[in-house]
Amino acid sequence: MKAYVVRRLLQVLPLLLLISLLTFLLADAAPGGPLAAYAEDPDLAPEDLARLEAQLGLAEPGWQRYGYWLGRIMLGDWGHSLVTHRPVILEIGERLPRTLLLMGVSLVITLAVALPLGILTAVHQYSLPDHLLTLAAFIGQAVPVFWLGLLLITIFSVWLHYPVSPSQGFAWFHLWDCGDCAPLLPGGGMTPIGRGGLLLGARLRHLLLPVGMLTFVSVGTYLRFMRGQMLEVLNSDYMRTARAKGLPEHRVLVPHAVKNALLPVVTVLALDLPGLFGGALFTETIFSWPGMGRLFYRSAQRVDFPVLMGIVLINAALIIFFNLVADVLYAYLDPRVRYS
Amino acid sequence: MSKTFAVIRKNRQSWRDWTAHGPAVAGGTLLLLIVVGCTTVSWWSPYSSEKSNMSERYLAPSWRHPMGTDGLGRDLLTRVLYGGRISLVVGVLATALGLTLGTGLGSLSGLQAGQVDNLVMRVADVFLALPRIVILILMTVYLRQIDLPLLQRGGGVVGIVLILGLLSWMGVARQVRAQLLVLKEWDFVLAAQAVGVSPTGVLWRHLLPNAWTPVIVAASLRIAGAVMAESGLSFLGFGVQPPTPTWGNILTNGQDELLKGHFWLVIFPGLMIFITVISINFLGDGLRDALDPRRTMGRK
Repeated sequence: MKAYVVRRLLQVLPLLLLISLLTFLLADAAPGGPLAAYAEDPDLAPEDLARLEAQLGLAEPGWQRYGYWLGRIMLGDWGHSLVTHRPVILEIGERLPRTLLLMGVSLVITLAVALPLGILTAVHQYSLPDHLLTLAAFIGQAVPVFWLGLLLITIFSVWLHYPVSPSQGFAWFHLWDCGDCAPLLPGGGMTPIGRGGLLLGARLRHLLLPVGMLTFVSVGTYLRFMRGQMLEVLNSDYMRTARAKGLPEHRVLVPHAVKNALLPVVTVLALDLPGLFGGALFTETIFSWPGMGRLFYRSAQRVDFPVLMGIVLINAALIIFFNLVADVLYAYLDPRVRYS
Repeated sequence: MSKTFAVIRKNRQSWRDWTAHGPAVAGGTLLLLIVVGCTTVSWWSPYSSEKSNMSERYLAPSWRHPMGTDGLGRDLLTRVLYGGRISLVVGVLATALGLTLGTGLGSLSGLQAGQVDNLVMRVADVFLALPRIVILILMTVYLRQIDLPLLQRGGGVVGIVLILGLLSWMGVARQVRAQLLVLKEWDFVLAAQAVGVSPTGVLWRHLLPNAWTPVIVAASLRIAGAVMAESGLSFLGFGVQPPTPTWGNILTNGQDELLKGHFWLVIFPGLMIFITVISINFLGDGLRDALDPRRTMGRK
C-alpha cells in the first residue's frame, strides 16, 4: 500500500512539471512581452531597451528563466497582479475558500439527491419514475448553466417578491414588485450590501440560487452514472448467490449491491472536478460570487497574466491532488485492485 | 381472449419501441427543424438581423414577432436563427477538426507504442486535468493579442473554431488509441501485413474502418458539447463578437435587459441552445444504442 502511494506520487510529479512548463510557455510566448510598454517610448534608445532586457534577465535562455520562475513559485512568490499590484498568492488565497464553499455545498447536495435516485431507478428499471428521472437527467445535462442562472435570477429576484412589513397580511409572496416588497432571493453577491458577514441566514439566502444552479446541472450526470453502475451490479453472479442463500431483499440490496456500485463513484467524483470548477466559473460570474472563477473571468478580461497563471497552476495542483486521493482511496476500498 | 392479449402485447411492444427510439426520433425531428429554420431564414423572414428599427423597440412576443424584439427593434426570431447558423457551423467544424486531430494523434499513439504514445497521452492528461472553459478563455485571450485579419473576420469565428477544435482531440485520441490497441492484435491485421499491405494501408483500410463507428457516434455527441462551449464563451464575451450574432452573445445582451423585465431576450436564445443540445444528445444516444449490439435497447 505504501509503495503504491509513493509510486502514484512519483507519477504525479512529471504531470505537475508539464503543466507548469505549459503555463510558463503560454505567458512567455504571449505577444508583446514585459517590455512592450517601453518599446514605443521615443525617449528610450534601443541600447537602453537591450540593457533593460539584460537587467531583468529576459535575455537569458528560456530554460534558465523557467528554472528561476519555478524556484520562485516553490518559495511562494507568485508575482503581482498587473492591475491591483497585490501579490497573486493573496488574491487567490482570499478567494479560494469561497469557491470551495460553493463547490463543496453543491457537491454534497448533488450526491445526496443523485445517488439515492440512481439506486432507485436501477432497482425499478423501466418503471415510470425511471423514465421520468432519466428524462430529467437528460434535461439537466442539456441546460446551459449560464442560461439557467439567468432564469433563476428572473424568477426569484425579479418576479417573486415577499412583503417586508408583516402588516401586508398573509401573502407569502407577490408577483412583481408591490411597493413594500423585497426580492424573494438575492440575485448576486455573498452577503447583503453594507452589513457584516456574520449573518448566517443572509449568507444561506445568498448561497441558495448559485448552489441550486450548480446542483441542477450536475445531478443528472451522477444519477445516470449511479444507475448504470447499479444495473451492472444487479446482474452479477454474487447477487444471484445472495438471493439463493435466501437473504431478504433489503439485505441483498444494501450490503451487496449498493456498496459495490458506490465504489466507482469515488473515481468519477475526482474526474469530474474540472467540470465542477467550470460550472463554478459561470456561477460566480452570473451571481457575482467573489471567488476564484470570477477572479479568473475578471483577470482574463484585463489580460492579467500573473493572476491567470496562478489560478491555472493552483487549479491543476488541486485537481491532480484530488485525483491522487481518489486513486488511493479506491485502491484502499476495493481489495481487488492490486498495488503492484 | 387470446386476441385481447395479442392486442395488449402489441401495444406494449409499440410503447417499448417508442421509449427505445422515440427520444431519438423526436431529437432528430427538432434538430432538422432548427437546421432548416437557420438555413432558410433569409428567404422568408421580412426582417433583417442587423438593421435597427427604433419604432419597434422592446416589443413583447406577438404574432408579428414570435420571440419579441430587442433594444434596437430587431426581430429576435430572425436574429436567433441567424445566430444559429454561426453556432451550429462552429459546433460542426470544431468537432470535425477535433475528430481529425484526435484520429491522427490516436493512431500515432496506438500504433507507435513507447515514447510517442507516452508523450501524446500525457499531453492529453494535462488538457483533461484543467477545466475546459479555463483553457478556452486563456486561448482566446492569447489569440486576441495576435493581429491576423483572418482571425478577426466575422467576429472571430475562425479563431473560435480553431480553439475549440484544438481542445477537443483528447477524448477522440484516447478512444481511437484504445480501439487500435485491441484491433492491431487481430489476425486479419497480421494477414494484411503478410500479403504486403503498407503500414498506412493497414491503418486506413483495415484498422480505422473497424475502429470508427463508436468514434463517430461519440463525435456526434461532441457537437452538442462544442455548441455549448461556443455559447458559453460568447456569453462571457470571449467568443464570437457582436454584431455577428450567436446564441451565446445574444444571451449576453439579454442579461442586461433582465432587470427591466424584458425576459424574452433571455428565454429564447437559451431555449435554442437547450433544444439543440438535448436533441443532439437524444439522437446520439439512440445512435449508440442502435449501433452497439452489446447495449440493451430498452427492451429485454
